[in-house]
This record gives sequence, structure tokens and C-alpha cells, in this order.
Amino acid sequence: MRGDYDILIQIRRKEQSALEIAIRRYARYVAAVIQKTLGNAGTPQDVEELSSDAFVALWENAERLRDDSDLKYWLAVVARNAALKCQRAHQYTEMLEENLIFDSSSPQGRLEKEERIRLVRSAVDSMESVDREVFLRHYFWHQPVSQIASEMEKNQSAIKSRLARGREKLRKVLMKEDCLL
Amino acid sequence: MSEIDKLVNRAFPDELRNVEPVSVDEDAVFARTLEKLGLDAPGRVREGPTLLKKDHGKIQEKKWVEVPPETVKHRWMSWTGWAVAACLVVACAVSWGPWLASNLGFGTREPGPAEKGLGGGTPYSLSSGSSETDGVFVPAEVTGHTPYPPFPTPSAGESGEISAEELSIGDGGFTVDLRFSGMSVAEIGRFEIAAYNAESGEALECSGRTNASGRVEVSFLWDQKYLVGEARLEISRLTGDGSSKYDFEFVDSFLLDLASRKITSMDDSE
Repeated sequence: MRGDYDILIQIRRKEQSALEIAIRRYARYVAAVIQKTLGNAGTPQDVEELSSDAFVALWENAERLRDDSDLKYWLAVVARNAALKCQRAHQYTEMLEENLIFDSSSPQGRLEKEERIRLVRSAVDSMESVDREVFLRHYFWHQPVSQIASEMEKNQSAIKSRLARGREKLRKVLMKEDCLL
Repeated sequence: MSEIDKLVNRAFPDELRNVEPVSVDEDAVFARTLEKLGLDAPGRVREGPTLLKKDHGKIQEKKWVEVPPETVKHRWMSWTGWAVAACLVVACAVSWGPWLASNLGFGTREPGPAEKGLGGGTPYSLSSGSSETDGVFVPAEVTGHTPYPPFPTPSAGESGEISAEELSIGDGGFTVDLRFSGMSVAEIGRFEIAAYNAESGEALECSGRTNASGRVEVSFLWDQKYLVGEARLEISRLTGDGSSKYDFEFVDSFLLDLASRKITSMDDSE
């Protein structure tokens, strides 16, 4: 069986057979990512359309990928971004407070960013499991409150309360880190 | 995307990795992908308008000729025969190499216990008090049967420790889970694992599977007439430059009690 590296090399050579192999291998997974992102807003045709966009991106950007790239993960990121773009115009998302400004371009800024990533993960992982799931569904998968409430069988106000709780927790963790810096 | 969104995205890469696949029309995705890229489906004949060409005042219609689809011969198909032959050679070398080498006087491996002779102090001696028994212990390398095929030649340098962490028993046999802490899959490949009936010393057939997290699952089948009571697992490491496949040094051994599922690490100094 061809590994990701072989597929990537052959796609760089514009061999269609390699593209087909990539699609046969990863289309179901890419579709799952898109479906999870779009939720109820996406039809099967939307899923197919966005899936093909992800593989088109692979074909067109194969030269830029590293030789040791994880194609599955790369396709998932591309698919998710495509789905989010498609969804953004039609959906209301409660934004997290953006009052934490830091410079991420300097070496110091990059270190701070890595530390914040760690803090975010730690803060979210320490939430109650239901709060964690609601938080990730909304802020990672960008699922609307209505979809989350429907799939988790809770009412929308309960979902919003949990989201508010998660945001407050994250805000305190990041603000505290800012004060210490 | 806001900075906080980016932080959340980077903090949870596993959220993308752990998604369960769903059914999708792969043919439709493939066709749509080709369409967007302006590519033809494999084997399709391009149909175009007829060309009109003037020739001596006459208009001749150029005819399109159907080109039969080209069969793509994958490179690997020409290698299949060689690969099969190579596998056979390797299998024969693994099975017969030790016997041939020891009988022809090649190799530098220390003589096995059968060649040294039975007696107290050897790890494979039979029940204490007996000097000769009916069951003569013959180590795997003398019979020509290697219970576990050697891994490829390793790179130099390694660290970490080996532990036997779990003994599970099922209908088909039993499995012991070895953990090679702090070692990469390549480093784990330097080790050879052999198993023996702890009482009789007879070699046991086993198979192993390595995973990326540094664990090797070693499985034994029940239908081995010589498997009773306790099994002894012996782990050796390939040393030297790999020019001789008998450059092994003993590393550790474990005693597996199949009744109590207890695993005991044996001291090498016994």
C-alpha cells in the first residue's frame, strides 16, 4: 500500500492515479470533518463539493507540502477551513473576548503564544466533560448553538450558559497570565 | 479568524485527528475534483469538433481516431517477482542460516546450552537435582528454528528499559505486552525475543507486533504440546556491526506464570 510520501511524490508529478488513491483513502474522513463543521447547514452536495475542494487544494499545493506531511491531517485542516468559510456568512457565533493583545511575531511573542496555547488547552481540559464538549463544538468546530443543543439534547439557554462559563474561565486564565508577564 | 480562535485551534489538533469517517460518494468527489482541475477521467477519449482543412480547393474533414486506453503498468508489478524471490531467500536464510553457520563453523555466537552441556547454573537447566532427563533442551538456533525472526540491523546507541507489563490469556493463547521505554521503533528492532518452556527448556513459537508507542505484543498459541505452567521470555540485543547475525548479548528475561498471570523479571546473574 502506498504511504503518504509516495502519494505526495506522485501527485507532484501530476499522476492522476495518485490523486484517486488519496481520494479513495481520505474522502470519507474529509467528508466527516466537513459534515461536523457544517452540521445541519450542509447538504450531501455541499459535503461533496467541499471535499473536492480539499483534494483540488492538495493537487495544486503538493509542491509546497513537506515530504513528511501527514496528508490526512492536512486535508482535514483544509476541509475544515473551507467549511468554515462557507458557513461563516450564515451563522451567528458568539465571539470570545478579544481584549488580550500580544505581539506574536517577536521571539518573546512566540514563546508567549506557545504558553497561551498550553494554558488554553489546560483550561479547557480541566472543564467538566459536558462543558468541554460544548466549548469545543462551538469554538473549534464552530457549530451553532442550535445544532449543539439538538445533538446533545439540551436546551439552547443551557448551552449558552455553559459557553459563557467556558469563556469566563478562559478569560481569567489568560488575563492572569497577562498580569504575570 | 481571531487570535483566540487560532489558540483554540492549535491547542486541540486531536479534535481533527479523532473524527470518525462517514460515507460519501467517492466517485462523485473524484469526478468533481477532476472537473475543477480540468482533467479527464482515466480512459476517457477526448471528443472535439471536427477540423476542416483545405486541400487543393477541397475541404477535407479530418477524422478523429479513437485511441485505445493506455494500460498503466505500475512500477511495482515488475518488481513483484523479485520481491517474492527475495522473501523466499530471506525466509530460507532465517530458517537454515543458523544451522548452516554452526555446522560449517561460521558466526560468533556463543554456543547454546545444548552445546555447553546441561547442568546447574545455566539458565536453561532442567529441574534441579537431575543431570540427565528424557527431554534434552535444544535451543532454537541449533534446531534451525528461530521462534522470532530477527529485526533489521539497528543504528548505534540506545537507552531506556524493558518491562513486561501485561499478561493476557485468551481462547487461542496468551499475549505478553513488552514495553521498551525511551526507545524508537528502529531501536526496538535491535532486540530479539525468544521464548521457552521454563520447565523443559523447549523453544516456543511466538509472534510479535511492534507499535509506534514503544510496545511489542508477543503472542503464543495454545496448541503447542510443550506449553505448560510457566514460560520464560528471553530478550537479547544485537551488538557489533551486524556483519554476523549471531552477535547478540543477553539483556533481560521474564518468567510468565500462566496460572497466576504473574510476570517476574529474572536477574541475569542467576
